[in-house]
Amino acid sequence: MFDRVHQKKEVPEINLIPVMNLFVTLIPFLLLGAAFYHVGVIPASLPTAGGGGEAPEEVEVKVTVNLQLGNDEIQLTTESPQLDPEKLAEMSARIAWGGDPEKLDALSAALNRIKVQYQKSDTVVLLPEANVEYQAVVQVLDASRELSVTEGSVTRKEPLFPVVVLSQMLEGEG
Amino acid sequence: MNIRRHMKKKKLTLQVTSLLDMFTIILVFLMVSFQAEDQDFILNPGVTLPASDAKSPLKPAVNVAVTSDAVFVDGKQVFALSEENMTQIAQGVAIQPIAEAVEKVLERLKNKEDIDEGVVVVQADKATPYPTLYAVLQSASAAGLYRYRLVIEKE
Repeated sequence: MFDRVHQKKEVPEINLIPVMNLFVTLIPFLLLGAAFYHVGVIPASLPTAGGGGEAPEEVEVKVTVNLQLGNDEIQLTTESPQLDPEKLAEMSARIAWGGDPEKLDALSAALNRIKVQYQKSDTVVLLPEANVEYQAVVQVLDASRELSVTEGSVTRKEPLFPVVVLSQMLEGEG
Repeated sequence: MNIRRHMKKKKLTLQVTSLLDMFTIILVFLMVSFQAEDQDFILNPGVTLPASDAKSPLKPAVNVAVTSDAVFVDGKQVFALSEENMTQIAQGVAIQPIAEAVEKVLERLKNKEDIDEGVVVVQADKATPYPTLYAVLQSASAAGLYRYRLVIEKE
């Protein structure tokens, strides 16, 4: 009677030692190849001298956005050889952000309005003030290059102005 | 007597199930972190990259690093960001020592196949004032590089 009860209790065990050996070999290999610091890049360029003031023959209107970046405020202006100055002035905006990236949604919204109207537009010229730090430049570029669109639980990115030109304000400008 | 005999029979085994659970978690985490593309990148000491949600991958190219006190080209210091040099920075024009160092590196990398030509990879500290960054870009353009890849830390 005693032996029968004892036999029922015994459960066959799987030998996990070979699996452990495999894991011990894999983990150091993966540790060597693991990248805990993921880096990416933002493509950019500097302004180049243009060929002249003639309007291009393109049918679709292209608007170039200029962002005068300060630590407190961003001034958005536009330029296009195909549009009237009045029309361009309508698209101008001033966005108070005080260095807070949360407030850059207003910038993305303003740029999206331009993008919806003139879909071929893709260039943003950044003109930061001398006291602006690189981190602020990157934050503004993030808000200008892509727009986060949330539909239900899914968030996707749509391109706004992915072509970045870094420029500098001339003394006395602004 | 019977009980004693039974106790002798019992084999002692090491309980490795919980250890295996832990190893499985570590393995999955490391497999997710495994990225071959970032292997070539060496972050210059003294640089804290700005955070960004940019997704473009990094490709090897001429490497220029900007720390709080110097500019490095391919790991070698070429220009000190001292107070006397700041007037040169403020002018927003190309800085000759940087342009020359970039040209030298460019010459050396000419025959390498996996190098992104005409591109300079800029790793600048997030607190770098914009005029410094702009002067560095201008210097690279004086050396014939007109496309820039600003390195960021992915969020």
